[in-house]
Amino acid sequence: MPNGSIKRGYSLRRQLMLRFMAISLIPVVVVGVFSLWSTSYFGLQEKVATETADVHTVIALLNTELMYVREAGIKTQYIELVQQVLERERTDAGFQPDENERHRMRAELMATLSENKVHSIYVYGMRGNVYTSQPTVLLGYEKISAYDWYREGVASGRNYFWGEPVRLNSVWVLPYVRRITDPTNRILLGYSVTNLYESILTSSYISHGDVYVLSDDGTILSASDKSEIGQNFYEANGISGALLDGRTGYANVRGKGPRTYAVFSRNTFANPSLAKLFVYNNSQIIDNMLIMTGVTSASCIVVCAFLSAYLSKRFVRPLRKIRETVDRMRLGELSAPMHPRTDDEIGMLMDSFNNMSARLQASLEEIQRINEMRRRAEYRAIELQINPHFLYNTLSLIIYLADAGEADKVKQVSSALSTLFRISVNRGRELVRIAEEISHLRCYMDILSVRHQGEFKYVLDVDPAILEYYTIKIILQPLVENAIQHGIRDNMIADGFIRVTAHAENGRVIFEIMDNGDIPASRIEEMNAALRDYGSAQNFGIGMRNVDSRIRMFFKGDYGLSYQKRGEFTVAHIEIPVLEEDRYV
Amino acid sequence: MKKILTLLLIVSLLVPAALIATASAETKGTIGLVLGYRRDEFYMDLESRFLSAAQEAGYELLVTDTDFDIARSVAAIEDYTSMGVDAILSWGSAQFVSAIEAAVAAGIPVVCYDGSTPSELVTANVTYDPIDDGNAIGLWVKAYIEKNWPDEEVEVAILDFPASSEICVGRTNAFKAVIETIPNAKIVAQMDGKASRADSMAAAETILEAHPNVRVAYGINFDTVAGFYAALEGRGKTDCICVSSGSWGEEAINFLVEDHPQYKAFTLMNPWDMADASVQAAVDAIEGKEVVYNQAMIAKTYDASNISELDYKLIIESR
Repeated sequence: MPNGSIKRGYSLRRQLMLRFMAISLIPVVVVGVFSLWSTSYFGLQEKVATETADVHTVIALLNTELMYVREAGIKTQYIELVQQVLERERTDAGFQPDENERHRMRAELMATLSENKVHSIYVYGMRGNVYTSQPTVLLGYEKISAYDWYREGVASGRNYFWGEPVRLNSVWVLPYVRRITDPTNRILLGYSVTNLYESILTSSYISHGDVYVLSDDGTILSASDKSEIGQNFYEANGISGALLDGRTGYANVRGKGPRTYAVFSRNTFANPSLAKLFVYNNSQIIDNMLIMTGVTSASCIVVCAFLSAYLSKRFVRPLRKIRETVDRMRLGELSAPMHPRTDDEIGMLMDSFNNMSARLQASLEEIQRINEMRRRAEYRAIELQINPHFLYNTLSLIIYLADAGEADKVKQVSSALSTLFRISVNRGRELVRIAEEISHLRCYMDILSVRHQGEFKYVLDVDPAILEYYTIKIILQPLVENAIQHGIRDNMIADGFIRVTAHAENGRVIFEIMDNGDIPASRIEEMNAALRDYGSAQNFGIGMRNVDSRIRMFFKGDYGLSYQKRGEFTVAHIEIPVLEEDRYV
Repeated sequence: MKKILTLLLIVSLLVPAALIATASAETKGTIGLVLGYRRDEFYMDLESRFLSAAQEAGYELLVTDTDFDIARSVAAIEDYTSMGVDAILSWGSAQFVSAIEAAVAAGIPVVCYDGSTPSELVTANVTYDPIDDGNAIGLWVKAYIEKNWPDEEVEVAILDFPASSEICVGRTNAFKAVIETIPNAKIVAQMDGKASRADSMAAAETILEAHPNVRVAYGINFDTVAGFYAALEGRGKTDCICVSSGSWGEEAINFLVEDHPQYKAFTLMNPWDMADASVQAAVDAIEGKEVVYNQAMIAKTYDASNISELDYKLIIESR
């Protein structure tokens, strides 16, 4: 990654601390928010449950009061006189009850009212005649079919229904309407309307708060504030009508101050339902919860800060150890292994780091060894280039030849020596054309031929096709020198012979230096073993090992020098790749 | 780790769901019982058996004691209809027809017990056949007279209960029909005992005043004939036997077990049988099975010779 794109920021430890704290605070905040919400929500639920239970208590009281009026209504249905009169009215189009019949009906209806809870009972025949428990028919009940609730109830075909409150002589009454049928054939004879004092209901809930008795559609049938009777409870309080669908429920009330709620409970009996308004003030609870949540959050933050500092320090410590080790490595100290204390990811990282460090150290030692070998080889090559003994001997030879008056040989040797050094010191290039390497060898051989006149003969057999190929320089001369010195002269061979060949074969250039020096096969094996022992520091065969090392270091692959016995000849065999340019990739 | 968390999440969701399912599986529904009253052993045993039978069937039973009040019973049926119970069990009366038909129209099956309700919409009428009842006890009296008083004029007195137009009137009429076939027997008196011991005692005293030679006293239930027996005791009259229809109770059974010299025979209606049949009819109707409309049960006649065949001890002990 380029330096310019690296973001500078907090240290890893600080980042870990901040993240640990952030992660720790999330549940604290969530729990705090949830606690606030749940306190408010469940507080309201508890209040609703309490108020609903209170409403159920009122319903039980209400049902007791209403049972009387219902029983009165049912009994009216079975009064024999009522059945007879209504049957006559149904079947006789011209029937009109006389005063006596009305009086008897009044007496029967009054007898039904044993308690002072029912204001009056009215019975309506199918032809519109009205019979009542009262001395006269009160205003508003002469024609009850004028009321919408009555017409709707009759149209529903139900056996009974509760009507809406009616004001009779400044008194609110709640009408309970029942069908009157012939018990034998169940033919409809008329309707009874039993009027319950609304104040009777009020007494059953007056001590239970702001309670309302409601019809199925929410009309207020009874309330402490009589002016509210007849209004629709849900519309008056801005409550959705959906509340009517369930048996119980609660809702927020609009327009009556904040935190005002209504609980609603449908009467499981065949009686009107109930609703109750109440105020749920939870501000003190919320304030307490806020303080509690704040204190808890602050405590958690402190604890989290300590914990995150401790944990991040504990987490970063081994990483710091690794960084310090890397710094020491950067300064060259590779043998400082880390000691993992755990087998977790950090421990495994340390183990891997130790392994990598060991391998790096081995690689560096190998590179150092190779560099050393290269340095020694280069030194030897330079040494070969300017061998002082060779120069001294050659110059002595030239002096000797001059003294002997052999000017031609002086010229020949001087010319060869000049060419030899020109090629050797060729601006430091490692690669030379094979033609130059052969020329260098030829000069060397010419000089030695004069110097050791008559001791050996040599032949150069080089394929002209390879002369323009390239080779690393001065790889033939040391081997020829070995052949002359250790093969022919050390063994005092009278007719020394050296043959140097060069040709290309299968993408390789093959040089061979053959001599007839008397070297046994066992010695050949020792020489090959010495060539393969790269790390040996022995002085044995320095020249040939130097040549072999240079070839192997320069060329990749199975190139190099080897010795073999071929009949009476000792053969130095060199293989290098064919190089058509003065570079090797 | 993810799998474990997923598993825990699933378990945490399933456990409450399973608990809710288990809780909701506790009851299949609710049945409303319109009880006649709780003032005699028959109805007390009937109510307790209704409760246990409904519980065994998996239903909650709501009970309203109406004290045999028509208006209160009609109101109870209407309340159960308003509540939306799964079925209603009610004592039967012709005056319940409108309320019962409204319940059935609301999809609630209604089973009437201990008296029928004349409506095709009633799911089932589970009753002890009053005709069979009166007939059986009449035949027992006939056999007794033929065996013990073959050559004597036997006066028979009856305490009936006309208010119970179907059951008690039926029993009485059937009993009278058998007695009238006995050549040497004669019904000398028939009065309303109001199905109560006190009223029956008063009525019996009136009868005995006019007919001191009564040899057979019949009551439409045990309380009625017990009132008659009290009047007999008061007069020190021991040559009169007492029989009754529609009896049930520890007292009546013990008289037979002890082979009482005057309490001779009763038809015993087993309330458990009636309760079991009624609840079964209601449950079958809820489950959409076909239910027999008229289920007339037989009240067997017991006397000292066969009372041991009745497993009454289990019922008494379960109170």
